[in-house]
Amino acid sequence: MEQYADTVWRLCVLHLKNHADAEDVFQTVFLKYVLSTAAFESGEHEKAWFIRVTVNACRDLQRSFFRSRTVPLEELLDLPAPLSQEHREVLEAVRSLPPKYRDPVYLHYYEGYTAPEIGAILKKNVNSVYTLLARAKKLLAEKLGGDWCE
Amino acid sequence: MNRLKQALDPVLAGDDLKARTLASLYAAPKRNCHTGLRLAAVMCALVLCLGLLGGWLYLTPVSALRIEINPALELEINRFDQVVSVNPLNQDGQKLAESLRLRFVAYTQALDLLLDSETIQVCLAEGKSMSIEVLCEDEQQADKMLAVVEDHTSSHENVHCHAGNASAQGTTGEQKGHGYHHQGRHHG
Repeated sequence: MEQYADTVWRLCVLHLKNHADAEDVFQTVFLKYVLSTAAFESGEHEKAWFIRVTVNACRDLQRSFFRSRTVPLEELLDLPAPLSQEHREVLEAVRSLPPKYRDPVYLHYYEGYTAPEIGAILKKNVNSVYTLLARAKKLLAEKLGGDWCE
Repeated sequence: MNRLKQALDPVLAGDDLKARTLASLYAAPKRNCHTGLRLAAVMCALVLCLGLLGGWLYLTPVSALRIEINPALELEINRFDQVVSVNPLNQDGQKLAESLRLRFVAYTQALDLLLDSETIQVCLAEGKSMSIEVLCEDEQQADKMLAVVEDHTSSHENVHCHAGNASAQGTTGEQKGHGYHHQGRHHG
């Protein structure tokens, strides 16, 4: 759990509106891991499994008929110290992106995956990943300025 | 380091969250209990359905033996060759049916009980003619039953076995909507 908990949690935070939903998905992912019979070839393979399962679980919850209420970011993150204004702006900007952009942005700019790797993890065409990344970069540059990813 | 990385670095899964998740994972077998209960309920339903189906198969008559001498009665027989109901066709038939335990025994056994009963023995001794009609939808089954009935009655004189004809005379089975009927063959 220690190895992948933060990655799973960050994906939950980027997708979900409140702490209860995020915690629900977080627990679901680890329960699926415990019940999974998948044989992982490597640590990277295992991490990719966690990312894919988390993304799918978030998507399933977002499709749910019962819409969840949105809470302020601080309440969702449940951090010991308040977020700085700058970090808050960045997180809000990524969270405000259409859902399809959030995973490629997180995987590329935070985890450092390349477009082909993201395509393999999210089961998307590589060209689609390039397109999503380019559009997301442009949208974020409009909100945060052109230097946000440097 | 890009700004997204700086912003997300402090976002960590807290120890409380991890502890709650571990607790929920240990509690997960409870979900399996629910699954077990669901499975048990499905099995119970399956057993119930099989029981009902078995009951229906057992209690539905597919053939009949109409026995007439003066007491007249009809034995309805299921696909397992068991008598499932006895229908008296007259008052003497009613008395005879009440004096013998003919239900839920093999029809050959029921036939033996009838032929060995005092009432029938007296009638046969008086020289009365006894008619046994085999009523069955399935011709092959009717032939088989007729052979069995003839074999069982071969030691008795004045007993005539034959397959009947449904269109000529109604049966209680037809009145109840069962599948068997009379056929037009006579084996004497």
